[in-house]
Amino acid sequence: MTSKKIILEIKNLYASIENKLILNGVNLTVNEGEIHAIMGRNGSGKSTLSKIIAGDPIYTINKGEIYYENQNIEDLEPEERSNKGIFLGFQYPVEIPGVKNIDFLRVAVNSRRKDLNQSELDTFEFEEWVEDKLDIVKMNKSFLDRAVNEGFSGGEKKRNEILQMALLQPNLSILDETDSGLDIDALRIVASGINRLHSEKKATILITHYQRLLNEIKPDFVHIMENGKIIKTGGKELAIELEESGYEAIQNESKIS
Amino acid sequence: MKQEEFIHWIDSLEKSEPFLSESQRKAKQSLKEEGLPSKQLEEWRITNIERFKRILKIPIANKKHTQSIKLNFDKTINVKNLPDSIEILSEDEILKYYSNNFDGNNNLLNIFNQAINNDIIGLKVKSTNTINLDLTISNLEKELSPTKIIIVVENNCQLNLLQVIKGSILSAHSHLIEIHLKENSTVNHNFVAIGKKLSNLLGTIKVKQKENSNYSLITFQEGWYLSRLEKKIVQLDGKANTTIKSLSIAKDNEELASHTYVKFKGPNGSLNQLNKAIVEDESHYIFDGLIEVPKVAQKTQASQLSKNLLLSSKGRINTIPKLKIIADDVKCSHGATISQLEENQIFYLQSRGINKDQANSLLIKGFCQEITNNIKLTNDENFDLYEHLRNSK
Repeated sequence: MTSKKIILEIKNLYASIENKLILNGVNLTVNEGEIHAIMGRNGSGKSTLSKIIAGDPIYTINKGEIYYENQNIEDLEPEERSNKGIFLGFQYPVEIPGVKNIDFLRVAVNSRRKDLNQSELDTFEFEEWVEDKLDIVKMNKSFLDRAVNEGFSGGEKKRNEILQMALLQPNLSILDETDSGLDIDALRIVASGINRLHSEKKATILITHYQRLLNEIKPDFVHIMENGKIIKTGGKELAIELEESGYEAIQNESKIS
Repeated sequence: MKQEEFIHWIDSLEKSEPFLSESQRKAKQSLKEEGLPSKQLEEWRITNIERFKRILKIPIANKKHTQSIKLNFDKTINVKNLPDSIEILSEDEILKYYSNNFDGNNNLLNIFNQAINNDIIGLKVKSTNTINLDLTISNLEKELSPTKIIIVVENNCQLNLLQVIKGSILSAHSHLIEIHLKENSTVNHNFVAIGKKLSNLLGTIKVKQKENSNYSLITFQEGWYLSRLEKKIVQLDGKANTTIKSLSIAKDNEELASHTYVKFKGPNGSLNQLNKAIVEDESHYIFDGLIEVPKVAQKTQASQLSKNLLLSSKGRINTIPKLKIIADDVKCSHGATISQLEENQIFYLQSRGINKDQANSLLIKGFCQEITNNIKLTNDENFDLYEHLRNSK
């Protein structure tokens, strides 16, 4: 059996914002084909970790390394990371008034295609291509003509994130609380989209508060984050344990161990 | 230029057509009384008055000014040969609509325009089918061209009006358009003003609305060394709808200004105003907007928003939104923001593979498109607004 390719490797990562330390030595390895869930309380550093992987310039890396497909990505701009196949689904997708969704998506897709040595799609080719992908998130075509995320409901914004994921075909998808603010029907649509887009060659990291998303998407690993580091790693059962006994119990248990 | 020189300049102005001579005489008299604008006047406090004075040194165009008129996107037609749906106003009618000075004190540009012997076109729209009317006004290098348009839109009639004003190098426009909307009439007015190097624009848009009329104005301006665009709208009896959207893009050392004044003289009127500007380099933008709601204008609904993007450390923006409300049963709001491009928006776009420069221009384009998407330019116009916007960054 050949060993799996490592997609993401984070080594002893410390990071801060405005001199406030948020990440306190994170270690994480994600191989191709794997789905990882990162759970934790508000302020535990989950979202920060996802934004740092995507390259948000407001954070400073104080120590440690992030490798994506064996390349240290610390010096790469966010767009370079995206073009190499890293995708961040935002917890709060940003509204861009005046910019049509379809125009934005086309520019984004063509940037990625350039990196993959594929030809750029013109307006007509792109329209055809995007229509196929709309079904993945059960989105109506009319969304394409609206301004990016502007006036979208919470669920529509999250579906738009998954549509972008479908179009950009990333190797590593980090989905930051994609389940928050979704009713059960929307959650199922989003989860089924994520399942359809995941494959043996890709890796997915789900950041979530709740176990309910993990009923729809089965993770291979569950990590608990607290105070800027991963304090416990386990399988799906860890999420169930967490739901039953709460963060407090796991935190105490990890202190004892 | 000093006051004596200004008086001399006024005295040297060419005589207008006989039927306008009395209004010209009055205008000259008022102009002398008002004198040159000064920093002491609230409405001129922030304006670069030296640039205004320089306009007075530009020779006035000595022949009738070229104005092309297009109807329903046809070829340019002769003003004297209009279809039945539009008729030329008689001299008496022009006098009836013309020269009744507006409420509000700030009338200098208006008087200035009337004092100069100007090219005047008066039109009356009589069709209940929508009329598309294009008016293009351009001038030659190094000339001050005075123009005036009066449009009366009769009861129940509809007009789509596109005005394009182009400036040549070292030139100036003194332009005044008056639009009278009768009951139940609708006017969609697009006003696009594009200047060239060291060109100037002194423009006034005056609108009077009767009950149940709808007036929608979109203005776009860029490229003027000094531009002062005054928009004065009065709802004569209230119960009418007014929409004003405007975008100004200031670059280099340009100074662009939008002054708006909206007054409700009766109840149940509405106003929706969005004023946007982008300031780059060492340019300066001024927004001064007053909404006046007297006691009689109960149930008025008015909103005014000024949104500005400041893209350089040496640029300047002054935004002065003002509400003067006496009536007690109204819904009025106003607000102003001056910001740079949002970091979180840039990061969002970057995280989708779009580089920082592209992200900046997408955001700027988005900022503009909220206004410019609604401007309809005819195909054979020899410039493309989109190109202007794209090249503006």
